[in-house]
Amino acid sequence: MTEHTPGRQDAAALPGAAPANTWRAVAPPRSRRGPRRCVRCRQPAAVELPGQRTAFCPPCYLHHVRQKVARTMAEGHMLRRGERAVVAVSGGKDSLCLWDVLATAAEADATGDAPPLLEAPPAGVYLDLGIGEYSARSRETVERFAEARGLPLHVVAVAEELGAGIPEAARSGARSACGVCGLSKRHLLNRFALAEGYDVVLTGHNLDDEAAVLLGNVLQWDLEQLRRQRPVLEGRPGLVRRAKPLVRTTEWETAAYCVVAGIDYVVEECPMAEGNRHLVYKDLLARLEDRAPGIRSAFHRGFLRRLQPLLEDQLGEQSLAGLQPCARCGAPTTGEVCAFCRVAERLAARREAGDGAEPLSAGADPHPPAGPPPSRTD
Amino acid sequence: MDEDREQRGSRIASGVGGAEGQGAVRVRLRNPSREVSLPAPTTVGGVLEALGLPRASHLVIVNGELVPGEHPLGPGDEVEVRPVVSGGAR
Repeated sequence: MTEHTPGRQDAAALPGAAPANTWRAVAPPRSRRGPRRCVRCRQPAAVELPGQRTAFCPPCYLHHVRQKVARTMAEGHMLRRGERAVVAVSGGKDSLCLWDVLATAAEADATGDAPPLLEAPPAGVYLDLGIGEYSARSRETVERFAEARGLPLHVVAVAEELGAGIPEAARSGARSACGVCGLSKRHLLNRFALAEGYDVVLTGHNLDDEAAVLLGNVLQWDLEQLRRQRPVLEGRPGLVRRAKPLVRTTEWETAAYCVVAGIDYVVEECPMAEGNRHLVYKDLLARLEDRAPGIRSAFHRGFLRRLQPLLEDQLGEQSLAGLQPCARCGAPTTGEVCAFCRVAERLAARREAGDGAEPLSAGADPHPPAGPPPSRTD
Repeated sequence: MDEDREQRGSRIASGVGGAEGQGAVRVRLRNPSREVSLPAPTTVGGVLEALGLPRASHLVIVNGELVPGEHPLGPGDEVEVRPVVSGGAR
């Protein structure tokens, strides 16, 4: 169970403005102007977005996020009319926000109240990572949301496909916990979408995720990772298109959306993510954002407009040339055997040798320094 | 300025300097779960400032709802500061 389940703020009465003398005691400038108003309907605002120099009342805020996501999807050509999309859902704020936005758009589309986006509410796919109580709570949250909204949900257990859950796979030493988790998600979501005939996988990567990964890639000048950091990764034989409709939406906005919409999500962080360097980058960027509202968006947007196309021109062809089918599973890979199958084989070998089941000792580092950096971009 | 803010944050988060009594706003923090008291009256923005937490990565939920940064807070308010950062791989 998650610890907090707020009610639907858009349906509830708004908190009234405080008396002017109370406002004056703590905030003189605003008290003279009265409470801040929604830029759309002029009702008292509840959600302020300093980076966009705007504020909304609860219902208009939901509308604002839905419109932004719809615009991002349309401009990025993420989904074409008639295509089948599946949403990767984790139980966190981002994926549940995205699923709710798309389901709402499909419902409005059906009644002719909104521009066409989806012909039917999209299905969700949940990957059970096998991370003890955290995964159990996440799955329960996703299942509850799907049932309440009447949305189809598929569940894929990583342990059944990989041979072990993420904690045990990380202990095999091939990669950090986030590294093996990321590659398992990419591989299994693609395999699921191919098998089920979906045209596109939509993920909940938000602006903060993308800005943090961008900062990490810039700090290391990882040109190949920078080239691949796009809101849409087009499909090709063996690979289903992947798109990130929340790429312009901050995680503050997705969390606020869930609170306002009354969506119960898993607030707790993944226990395996402790020590992830991208959390450090996110904190740095958040502190920068407080000083210079909108800087994260400008950083990421500028990259996509000015640098990424140049990298694509210079490096795109040579990167495509090296792909071949994995000798084990057939998924496109640059080597003979793909990274997912290599981890699975390593786990199987450890099992055979009888040393794959020891528990992780208390305080053990789930992010060994020798492991590759975690990537959330592909 | 950042150092001042961070020092304030760690001081209050560790319980040193927290306000007690009837004139205090009780604030619940998450990840890890804990509770601190701050002198009343204050505002949503004042809570984050006192705790040294970036506004860009924390929601302040008052009585189950979002409110603007200048919203005044008193002893009777139920205040939750919720980090919005999620990490790792997805």
